Amino acid sequence: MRLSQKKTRAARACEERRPNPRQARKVAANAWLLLVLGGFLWLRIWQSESVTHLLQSFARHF
Amino acid sequence: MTFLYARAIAAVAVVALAGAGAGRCLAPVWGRERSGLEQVVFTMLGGLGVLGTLLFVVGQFYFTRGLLAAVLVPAAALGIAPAKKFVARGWHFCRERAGAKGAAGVIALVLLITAVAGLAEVRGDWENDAVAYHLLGPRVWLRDAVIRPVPDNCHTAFPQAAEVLFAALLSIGGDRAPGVFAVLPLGLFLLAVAALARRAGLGGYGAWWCMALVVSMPAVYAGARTGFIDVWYASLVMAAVILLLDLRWPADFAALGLFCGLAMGTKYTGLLVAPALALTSAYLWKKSGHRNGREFLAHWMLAGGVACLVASPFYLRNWILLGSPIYPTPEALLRFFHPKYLPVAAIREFQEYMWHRGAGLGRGPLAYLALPFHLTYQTSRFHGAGGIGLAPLAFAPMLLLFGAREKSTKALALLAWVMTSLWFLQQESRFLIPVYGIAAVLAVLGWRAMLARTGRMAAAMALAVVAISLSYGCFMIASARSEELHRVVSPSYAERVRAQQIPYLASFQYLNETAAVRKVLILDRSVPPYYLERDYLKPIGQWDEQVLPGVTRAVDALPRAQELGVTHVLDVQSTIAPFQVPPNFPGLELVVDLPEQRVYRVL
Repeated sequence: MRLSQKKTRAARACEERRPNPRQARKVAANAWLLLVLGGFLWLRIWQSESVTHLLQSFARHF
Repeated sequence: MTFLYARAIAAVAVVALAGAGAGRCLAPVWGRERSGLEQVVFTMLGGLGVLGTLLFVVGQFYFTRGLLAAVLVPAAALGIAPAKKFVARGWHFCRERAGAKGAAGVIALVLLITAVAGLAEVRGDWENDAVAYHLLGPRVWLRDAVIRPVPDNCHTAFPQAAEVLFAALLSIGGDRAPGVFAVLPLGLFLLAVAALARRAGLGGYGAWWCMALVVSMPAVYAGARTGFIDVWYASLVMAAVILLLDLRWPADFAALGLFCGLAMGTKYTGLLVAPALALTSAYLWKKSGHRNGREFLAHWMLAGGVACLVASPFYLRNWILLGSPIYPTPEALLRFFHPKYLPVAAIREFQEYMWHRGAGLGRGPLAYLALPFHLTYQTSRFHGAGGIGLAPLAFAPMLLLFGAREKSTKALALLAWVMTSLWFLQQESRFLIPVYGIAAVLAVLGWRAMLARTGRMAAAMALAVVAISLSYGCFMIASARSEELHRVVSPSYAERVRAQQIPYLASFQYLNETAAVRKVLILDRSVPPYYLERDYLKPIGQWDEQVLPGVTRAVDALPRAQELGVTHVLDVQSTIAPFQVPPNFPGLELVVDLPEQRVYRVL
């Protein structure tokens, strides 16, 4: 069989409209990392007293 | 000041060499075919642990500077040859860091902060555990020339393999030596994490990142500060975990038992480690295709026997002298043991305090399931302010996502889960340090698996996770120790704030410098006797211990002052009680009268 005739798992999955497990894992990994980083920004930075204080003094200044 | 620092550093070097010397004698237990890194970890941890246990046993009869010199000097001489080899191996390991310079920089920074801040004088009140009991016991033992639990502080009856080394350091290197010594357990813990990482399949590069993630966890660092023993304990547990992943011969089980025993001789929490290790070992045994359960049991009986033998001096001593092997005795054991000095009410109060302190973020099933998130984002409520960084939560689940096939990875995950579940009952962050080490290894394994199967975006986010973990952790650690660093670099500042940081300093100075002072009666239970260089009597202890039979209030001991050999009385107005000596009490002369502190001479 020639190389061009070979169908990758991804291409077959695409044709059959099935989700590609490898792609799905990639998306899940990205989403998870985004969630963890977002959680840090929200819980440890945005809600921290020092940032709140900084924002309040910024608001007072203007 | 330079002499003080040089003496402390020299004492740490002597104790480290003595550890290497003692460990050299134990090398046949774990075999010589192990990697250089594992040899360093096992030799140093095993050597220092056995040295502490040996000094503890001999110290029950005799504990002087002469005895310490007689044990430490020959052991240190024996340790010179292995130490040279370790330095060469360490250099070789450092050269493996190609590409991990950032990790090496973070490790060097935190170790440097620890060493320099460790040179600062130990200060604080009864809420600082180092002052309250970790260093109080060693001071009293050296003064009395014998190791005995201090009756007015039940925590000095905890297993004391590490505190005995503090006593040696105080004796040789002065009061700055335990602070400098903190670098050694922290460094050994990092090496143990690196050895575990290598055993779990990571290369030198991955091992460096594991060490960097661990050293920048403020929750780990909290157990590595001056006088704290949690990182030392965690290192012993890590040594046992490394052995667990490669148990082949009965000698390996004996070595595992040795490190379990040393952990049990360092902290009571060590008692819970052996069952968790045995469970994981059963999993590995089955996965390796072994079917002979009897052989497995025989090996674990050997490990258990060695562990009990090594830890037995600490528990037997307590049983003989205090009436209970575990002291303060858990309420459930009060039917079998009758502890001295501690009334049942005091035991209940202590347990209630521990239960409330360990409330963390709740005890229900939801709180249990949310633990990974809370440990990452809400650690201040677990008394581990600063947290463990983002990496374990971000990367460890990648092992589930991309499939962890190696049985060592699965075993580490199982062990971490079992140990965390046991810890959930008493949520003191420092007790979970061994799991933080394992979590860092799992995180780097997950990071590696993820990078191999994802694209640039995930790699960039992973970099952000690591950068945030390291920088946030280092910032928290540096800010937590900035005050001590300031004191080390500025002696004038250190002198200026001394009176604010040492409670009742003027009274302690008077009592330490007056020749007529022989024995001091301390009335308030919040006064930390660590700062007193004279013999003392504290009728009511920090945890409501009753030192004198029939005396339930400290002031009741006053009429018996002369009979008890007391020459001076220290009375203070503290946050928990007012002055206790009644006005014009007969037989006492007021010699120091300052706000919140008074010293009387017994006539």
